[in-house]
Amino acid sequence: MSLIAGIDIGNSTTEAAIARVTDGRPEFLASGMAYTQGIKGTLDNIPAIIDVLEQATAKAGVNVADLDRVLLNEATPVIGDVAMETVTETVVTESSMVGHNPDSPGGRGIGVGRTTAIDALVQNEASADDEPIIVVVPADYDFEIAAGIIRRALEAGVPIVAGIAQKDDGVLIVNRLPEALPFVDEVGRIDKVPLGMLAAVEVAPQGHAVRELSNPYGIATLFSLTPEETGFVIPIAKALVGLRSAVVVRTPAGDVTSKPIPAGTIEFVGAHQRLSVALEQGADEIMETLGRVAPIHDVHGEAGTNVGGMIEHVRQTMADLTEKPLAEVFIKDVLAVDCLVPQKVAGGVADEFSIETATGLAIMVNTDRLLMTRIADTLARRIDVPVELGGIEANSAILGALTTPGIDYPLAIIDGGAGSVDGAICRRDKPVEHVHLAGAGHMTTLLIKNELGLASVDVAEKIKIHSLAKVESLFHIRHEDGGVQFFETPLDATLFARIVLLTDDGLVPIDTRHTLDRIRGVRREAKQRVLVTNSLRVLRRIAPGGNIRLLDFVAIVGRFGLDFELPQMLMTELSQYGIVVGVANVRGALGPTNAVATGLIINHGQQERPA
Amino acid sequence: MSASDADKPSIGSAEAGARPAIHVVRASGVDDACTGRVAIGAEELGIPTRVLIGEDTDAVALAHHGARTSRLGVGVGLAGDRIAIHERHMPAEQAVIVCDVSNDPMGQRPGHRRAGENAARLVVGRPLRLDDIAAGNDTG
Repeated sequence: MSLIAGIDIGNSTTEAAIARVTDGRPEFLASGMAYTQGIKGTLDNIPAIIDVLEQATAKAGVNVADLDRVLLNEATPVIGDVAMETVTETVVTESSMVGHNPDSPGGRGIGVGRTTAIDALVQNEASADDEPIIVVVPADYDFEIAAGIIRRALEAGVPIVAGIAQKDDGVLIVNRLPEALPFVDEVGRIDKVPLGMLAAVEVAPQGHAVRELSNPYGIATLFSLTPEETGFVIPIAKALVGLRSAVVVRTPAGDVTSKPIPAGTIEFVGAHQRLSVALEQGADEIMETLGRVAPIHDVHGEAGTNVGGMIEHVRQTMADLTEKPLAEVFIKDVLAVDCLVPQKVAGGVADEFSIETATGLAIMVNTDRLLMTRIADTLARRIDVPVELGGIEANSAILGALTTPGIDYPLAIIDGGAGSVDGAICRRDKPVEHVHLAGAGHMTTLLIKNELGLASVDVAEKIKIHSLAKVESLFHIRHEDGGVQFFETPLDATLFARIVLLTDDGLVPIDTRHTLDRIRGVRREAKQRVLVTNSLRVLRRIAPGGNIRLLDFVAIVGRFGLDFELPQMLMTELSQYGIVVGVANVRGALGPTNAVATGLIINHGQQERPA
Repeated sequence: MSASDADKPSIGSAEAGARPAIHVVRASGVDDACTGRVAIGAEELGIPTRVLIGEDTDAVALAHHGARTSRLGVGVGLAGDRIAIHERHMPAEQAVIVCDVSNDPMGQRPGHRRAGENAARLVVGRPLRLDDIAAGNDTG
């Protein structure tokens, strides 16, 4: 009889199982989990390993020193990284556009005229004979004073048709005028609005978006543009789509350009051929090229371009981590995903955003066994218990998954983590086959962060793993599925009308102007395009003849199984193939977790069992 | 507590049937300029206000009276250096926000305007602007 611990170091969590093994038959005593520190496969992992060992042994009522042996997973030999690069960029060379969504612009309609400082009205420089005027009101004018000046000018016949205010005073000014002129407010950098230029101000009715200024022909009509000039305003119109209020100024030298960034090409090196594909051709083309070259030996990016920088940066990071020379780091898989990213317009006046095209790449390199050996040796010295590597991780994961009630051979598993999606298939009397593909949790987080324009990865990570709700009153929230939940005690005022995440620590507000539906859509789309797509790629690679229909049982293990919506998304996607697919329930009790740690011990037992 | 309508001579217009408005209730001695700035904060978001005079000396109690009598269910109370914003369903002693405006600059009184804006935000269902005020779960 011996006391054995199985340890699985994952990208995000480290799990342990403790069992008493008698004649090769394990009796499981306890399990433990801690968050992995450092990158999987480095010595930084040791503290978390010791932490789970102490947790699990304490639960089992034994000491770490009582263990006869510790088994370590021979970590999935891959490390992944992600990068994203925008393919287009909008640049305003002279401030010729203000487009934003203040909470309360004043009035409604469209006004076209020359931008004129309110100072000029005070000094009676404008008269009834002038052409139409758009009045510009800086913050040092109180709204009552500004409204008085504009009202008197209007009464004197000065043709004021619209206004731009720096403070949040649009409604207040308009309410004090004889007619409801369109007034855009909260324009922070009002000093950058050029004066004496022809401009158009548009304020849409509540619940609507600007129509003329988001339409190139609308702008052409307002400014009498030639067909050639109309071509130049397309980026302006594009940047103003969906906003409630906007200003376009026609400056003589002003120019807004949407320029493609030379993103470069990716070269896939396979066993039989090399193929290149330009990044701007998009994710589908990149993935198709990859498919034609597979199995790939390495990937290169064109030197001196964005994609070259991205790929070589990943290679350098991996070289540093694995302490291998750069030339020996080979990229084994790439997942490309297109996305639309809000980017701050260079040269904008009121923090305008333009939606640009971007391509995200998840890149994976193979590591080697050496690293885990180093961890095993260090750990053995630290805890004074023999530590050994317990065989290929995929085999252990299969053995662990097989403890799920109702499951049988031939069994395929999907094990998703942070950096890669791994799959394995085990058929009776055949060796386990496994595959690792680039792009998993981190890539999903990156997509969410960029598509929502979030400042931090932490917020994107939280959005990924929690469901959403809108706080509709001080006493109730509406969940993203439409359900309403009431509270006995009032919610904190800081949560009122906010989009919140339902976390273990209660409701956490997200600092965003996106709607709940938009955030939910981006979150699910990111999971679909990375996690579901990669799960299907994995299954096609391990299925007999690449045919998913020929699989029997598919079990989801690891972090994917814990996600609140991914298992349902995967099951929906796979239901059309007529196979049994579900979340594993390791040892009939632990859900999708602990499969590898459990499998390590079972594997050890099978080898010890007397024939 | 009784209240009289300071805007219009007709006493009792705060009863049901009156035009929906946020009720801004001030203690005696509070300057009209203060209630005026509260009203302007709400006006920018398109919500009307009605100014009432209350007999209480506590901002929270005044605000609660305003919230109970307002058809929009939101009241603002001003007493001394304190402004409270209340909502009809809240416990009487627990205002949504209580803030100290003793340091609010005379003239534009941005703190008063912000209180009016937040009261209007409660009505229209937009997140409150709390960056420079403490949310008042304690009633002090």
